Amino acid sequence: MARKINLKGLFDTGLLSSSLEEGAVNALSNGIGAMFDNDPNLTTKFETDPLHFSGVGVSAVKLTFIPPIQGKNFRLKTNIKGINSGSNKAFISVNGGPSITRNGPSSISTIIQHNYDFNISGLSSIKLNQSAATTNTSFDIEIFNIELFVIDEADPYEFNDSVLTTQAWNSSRYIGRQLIGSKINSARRDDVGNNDRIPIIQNYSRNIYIGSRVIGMTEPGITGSFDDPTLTPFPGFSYVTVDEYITVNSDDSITRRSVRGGRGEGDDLNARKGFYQAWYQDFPIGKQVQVKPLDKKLAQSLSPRYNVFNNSGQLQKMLLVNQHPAGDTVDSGSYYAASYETSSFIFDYCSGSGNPDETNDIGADFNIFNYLLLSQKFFTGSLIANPTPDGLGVRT
Amino acid sequence: MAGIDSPSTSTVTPNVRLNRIKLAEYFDSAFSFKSGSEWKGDKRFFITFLPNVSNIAQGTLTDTREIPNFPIRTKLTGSYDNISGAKISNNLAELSTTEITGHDGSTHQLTLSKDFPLNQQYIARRHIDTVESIHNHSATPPFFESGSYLISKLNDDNPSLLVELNKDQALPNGLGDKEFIVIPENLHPFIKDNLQYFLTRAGIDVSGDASQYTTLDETNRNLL
Repeated sequence: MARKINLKGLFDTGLLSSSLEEGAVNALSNGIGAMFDNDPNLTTKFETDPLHFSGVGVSAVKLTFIPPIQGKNFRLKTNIKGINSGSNKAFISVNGGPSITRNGPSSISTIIQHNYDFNISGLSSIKLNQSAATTNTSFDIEIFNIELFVIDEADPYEFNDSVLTTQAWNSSRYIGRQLIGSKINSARRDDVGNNDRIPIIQNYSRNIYIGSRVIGMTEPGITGSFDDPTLTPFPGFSYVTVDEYITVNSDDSITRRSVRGGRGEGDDLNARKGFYQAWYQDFPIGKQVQVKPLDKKLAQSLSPRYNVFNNSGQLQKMLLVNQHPAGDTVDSGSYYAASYETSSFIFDYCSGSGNPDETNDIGADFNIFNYLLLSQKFFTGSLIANPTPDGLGVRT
Repeated sequence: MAGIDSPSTSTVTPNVRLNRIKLAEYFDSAFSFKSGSEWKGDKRFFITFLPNVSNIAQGTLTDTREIPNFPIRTKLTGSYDNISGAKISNNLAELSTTEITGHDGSTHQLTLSKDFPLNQQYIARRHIDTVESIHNHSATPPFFESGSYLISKLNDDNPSLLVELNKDQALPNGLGDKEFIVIPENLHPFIKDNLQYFLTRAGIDVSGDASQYTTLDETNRNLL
C-alpha cells in the first residue's frame, strides 16, 4: 500500500521548505504553498529567466524536506500548464541526482500531468525544473496539485500499482473533482461538490499512540490547585500526553517510535521532528480523538471522542497584565491599551507613542509566574525600573 | 499578596507598575530567543485574553493571580460581542487564546497568528477620567473590560492534546493499572477492527486473555 505524504501539512509546519533557484514567481501567483493544496483556484505561477546562461528560459524551485521522508520507492505527481506559451521540458532532480525528464505542455493552457517514479533511500530534496525549447526563450507556467507517494517503505509495503489508474487516485484537481468528504471512503450527501457520489479516498493513519498522562485542570468556575500549577489553566480541560506510538505496517509487523526518556532531545532532534510530523498529521486541530483506557475494570465516563483544541504542547503561564484597580473599576491611565483587531491581527499594548517620560505609562499591575522556570531562560533584564539585586523588585 | 511561592514555580507580584519600555524589552528577548534556535517548538509564545475580576461569576475574587482560571470562552454570554454572537470554533480561539507571531517595540504592537486567528475583536475599556473622555472605549466583549491578558510559553517536551475532558468527572480514579491509547480519527479500519491484536503484538498489556487475540478480522484489510 502506498502512503500519501501531506505536503501542505509539511509546508505549513516548516518541515518542507522551498527556495527559488532560477526564474521568478509571477506576480499573479498564489504563492509557493499553492502547489500543494487542493483548491482549484490557487496555483503557483513561475516566470522563466530569459537571460539564463543556457540560452533558454529556465525556472527552478527546490523543495527540501527536514527531516527526510523515509522510504525506498517514491512517486511524484505534478500538473503544469503553460501560461504564455508551451513548455518544452519539465524535469526533476531528486536529492541532487540526475534529472528525470518529461515533455512539457505543448501549447498555451494545455494541462499536462506527469508521474515521476524514483528509488532512493530517504527523500531530502526535489528540484522542479522547467525549460523552454531553444527557439522559445521565454515562457511562464503554472504548477499545481503536486502529490508525493511513498510506494515502498523502508519496511516494504505492497503497492497495487493498478489503483493509480482509478479516478480516486488521479489528481482530483485535474479531473475537476474535490476532496472534501464527510466520511472516509464513502459517498455522502454532505460531501462538498461530490455530485457523482464517488467515494472519496482520504489518508488513513496506521499509528496507534500510547498515552502517558492525562493532566487535568481546574473544574470550571473553581479556583485552586490542579495537576500541574505551572500550566495556563483551561478549566474543564485536560492535556492528554503521549510519548510513544506504534505503526502497523502493511505486512502486519509493528514499528515502535518514541520520544520517551529523552529521545528526541539534544542531539537526537530528528527523532523529535519525525515524531511531530506524524503527530500533526494524525491529530490536526479541529479533528477528533479517542481516548481509550486498556483497563476494562476502570471506572470512567469518557466521551466517545474529543475535539482537539490544540496539538502543539502545553502552555505554561508567564506574565499576567491587569489594569490597576481604581475603586469599583479599573484605570491604569490613558496610556494603557489592550486592543486586538481581527482585520490586522495586531494587538496594541500601549496607547499611541506612550508617555514621553517613559515611567508608568502603561501603569499596569502585573504578576510573573514560573519566573525561574520560564522567563529566566530568555530574559536577563527586569520588568521593573529599579529592580532589587535578584532582578525582581520589591514585592508585596 | 504573597511574594514568591516556590523556587521554580514562583509567582512574583511586584508593587510597582509596568511600563512600555520594560515590556517591549521582554517581548524582544522572547522573540530573539525563538529566532536563534534550531527547534522552535518550545519557544513559541501565546496570549490569552481574560475577564475583569468583577465579571467573574463568583464576584468575590480578590486575588488577581486567580484570573487565568477564568478564560473568556467565546460561546458563553458576556464572552462574545453582542452583535456577532456566540462563536464555537473548537480550538484555542474559543478560549480567547492564540499564538504571538511578532513584536514591534516601536509601535508597542504584537502580531497574532493568522493561521489560527481569534474569533473576535478584543478591546478593553480605557481611562475613566472625564478629562480624557476621548479615550473611553466600550469594552468588547463585555467581560474584557479590564483588558487583562496572560502571556504563556509552549512546552512541547511531551506531545500533548488539549481536549475538553474534565478529569475529575471522567476519570475519578485516574487511569487504572494499565496503559491507555490515543486513537486518531482516521485510523485505518482494519487496524481499528484488530486493535487488541496489534497492541498485544506490540507488547502492550491489554485487559483479558491475550491468547484470544490470535486471529485477524480481514474485512477491511484492503481499504485504501
